[in-house]
Amino acid sequence: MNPAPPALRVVEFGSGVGVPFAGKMFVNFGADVVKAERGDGDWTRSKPPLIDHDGERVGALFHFLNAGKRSILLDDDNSDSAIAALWSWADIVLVDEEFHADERISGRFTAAGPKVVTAVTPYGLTGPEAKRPGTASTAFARCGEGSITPAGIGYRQFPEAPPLGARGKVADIDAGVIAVVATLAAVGSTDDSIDRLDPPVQIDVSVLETQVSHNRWLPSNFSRTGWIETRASTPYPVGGMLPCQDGHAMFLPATDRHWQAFVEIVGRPDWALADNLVTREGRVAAGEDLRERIMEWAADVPKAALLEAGLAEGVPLGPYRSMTEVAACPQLNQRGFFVQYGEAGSGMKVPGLPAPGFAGQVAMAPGLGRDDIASLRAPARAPTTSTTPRTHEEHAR
Amino acid sequence: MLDFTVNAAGPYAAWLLAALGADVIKVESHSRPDPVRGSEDRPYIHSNFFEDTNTGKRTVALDLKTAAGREAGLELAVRCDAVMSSFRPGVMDRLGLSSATIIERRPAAVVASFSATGSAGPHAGLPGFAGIFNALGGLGALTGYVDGPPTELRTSIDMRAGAMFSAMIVAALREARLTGVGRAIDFAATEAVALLSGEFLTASLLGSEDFEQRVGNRDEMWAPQGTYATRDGRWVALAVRTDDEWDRLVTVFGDGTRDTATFGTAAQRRQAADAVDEIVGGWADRFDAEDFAERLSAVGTAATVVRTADEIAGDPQLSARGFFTTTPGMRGNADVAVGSAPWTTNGQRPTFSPGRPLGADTATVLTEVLGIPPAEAIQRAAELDEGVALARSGS
Repeated sequence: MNPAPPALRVVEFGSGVGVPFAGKMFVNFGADVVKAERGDGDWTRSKPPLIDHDGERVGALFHFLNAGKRSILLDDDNSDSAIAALWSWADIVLVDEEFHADERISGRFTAAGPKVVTAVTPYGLTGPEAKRPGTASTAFARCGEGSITPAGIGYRQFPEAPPLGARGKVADIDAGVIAVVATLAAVGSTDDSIDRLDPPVQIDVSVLETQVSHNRWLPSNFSRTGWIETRASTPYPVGGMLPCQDGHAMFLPATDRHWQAFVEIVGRPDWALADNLVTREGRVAAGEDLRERIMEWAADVPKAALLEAGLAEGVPLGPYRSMTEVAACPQLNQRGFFVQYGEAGSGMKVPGLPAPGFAGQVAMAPGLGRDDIASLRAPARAPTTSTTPRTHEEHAR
Repeated sequence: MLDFTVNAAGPYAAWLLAALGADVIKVESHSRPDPVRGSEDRPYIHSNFFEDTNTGKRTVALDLKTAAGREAGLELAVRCDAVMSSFRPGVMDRLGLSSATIIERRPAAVVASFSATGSAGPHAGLPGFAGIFNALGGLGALTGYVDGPPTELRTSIDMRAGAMFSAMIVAALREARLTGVGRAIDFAATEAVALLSGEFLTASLLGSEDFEQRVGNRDEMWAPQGTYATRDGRWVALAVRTDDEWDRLVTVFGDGTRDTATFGTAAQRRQAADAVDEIVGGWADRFDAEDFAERLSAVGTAATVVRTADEIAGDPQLSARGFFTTTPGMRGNADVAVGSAPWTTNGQRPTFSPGRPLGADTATVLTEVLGIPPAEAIQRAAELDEGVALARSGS
């Protein structure tokens, strides 16, 4: 077994969500992540919902994305030298469209390495629309997913309402994830693999392409069958979203066994025992009649009981949960999904990664310009404010 | 990579790894193929999108119901850098393919399992698909019209979770290469979805509670953000991020009769969101969708026509960047437009070999990975999945 590898050095020239989400994953993987900010700082610092802490009001989004990072302010006096210093320090440079518009940053893309330079922009760095403004919401709408959202009950209740986007900045987070995948692969996995990345590897991630990729079945299905999925399509021929006693639940019986177990859950009423429902084809054919029966049953059942039944019988059945319910979920808490935020005893937690065994603690998101360039050469702040011990080891170059 | 995953999320994760250059060996059997391969006798699988996420892989047929199939699975597993699965928790253990077994024989192995809620804990083992993770993870309840129900998000949720799964695997592979120590990854898709709403989840964890109400297309900061009907009966989505942007829009589209000062700040526009929607809706109503989106974009506002499934493959920006390719349909149908991976490295798109019929690479893989001589490997391949022989005799 070899000693722990040196922490990857990551610089974020990016505000908002895409680049900072990539940086958040790097923090959770043990990297040393430095966030460059300009002016009043990342706009997510002031995006509601706001959190009052230590006499400051800072956006929950900023806390979520920037825990465990350092912050360097690029002001008028220092920015040229700071950009140069950050660039030369980094193994990985992440750049969004706003910072890319600064030629002092985009002009360095081909400068001597060794490093990986990854851009995360709305449409990619090339093509006729490279400079077009874009947001997570417009990517969601343009990729096709907007045209099928909502379907099912949501559409039937509001057929005249505009198509919906996912709440929050989902498309930007998706692009951040893809940036991590492509960047980590390019960094390589030998002791000297980064040193060999000269000239630098350039990765170009498009938020739009990420959304189209994640919705790839829409164009491929169209090209295969001519079928245009819409909001009026039936998303789930059997089951789907069910209003229940205290909210909504999802029921997705994919197999005959799921159906048989569900019949037991509903107490074997005559309608559920009908011969035509024994096969999937029969259940699909039963269509709206069956849906009505299932909805009638669910109307009186609370969410917690539905989840319990799904777990007990091995049926894909679960509640739509609020954030408060997600935060309190015993499963997520037991798995350690929420990691300690700030110093031991702070009593605060933030979401970590979707598998146990990575960073169990992250430092508080930094104040604007809390760190200076000189700190890049210094090892370590105190371990209690760190992500993992590995984060503090200096690069042994 | 030895890939036991099926359906959408796991195969997409493996496909992203294939895009990075991994040699992905997909394991199925004729008695238990990946359901998305689709077949004429399964008409209920209405989105046979196998080609979408299974190009660039090799395909091996092993009947894991037989001892020989399981043994071959283990022998392949311990010769791979990573093993991926999406069975319900416990199944890999019963097949003799537990992470402990694999890591004992190959300490640097990354053994990654994908499930709805994870392998241990009070909610372990809930069978789930994208619709279930979307509900349990909270994004579904956050998304929806103000007076409406939560929102069903579908296949995209599998892909979003699958992409995170691949990121975890790449990170673990790097760590394993550098340290010689692998790890098991017990991935929970519910948590991946929760990360998509991480902003709101963090707000809840840190004590804020004023955001649970669904808001339609509106944003908590940018205003207006919404989707508006245009003269030609289509929809345009837009987001105004700054007050300067709003001023420009008023200059270009305003009719001079409104007191724009009332809405000069984002806070004012959020406060009067219905009135602002009415103003923007009035602008949208004067133009066709394409025209309106271009005019908005020209003054710096993020805007797009809400595209439908038939319009995606012809998107000019995607075309200019070479995002779509065509690949032969696996079921003898016409070429299918399949998106590439959503990034370029030094200007190059990842490329993929076409999808393959189930088991087409079994013998080759037995030879290359297990060192079984070619002639013997063909025989072994037939033994490891009786369906191989049946398929051959039937064709």
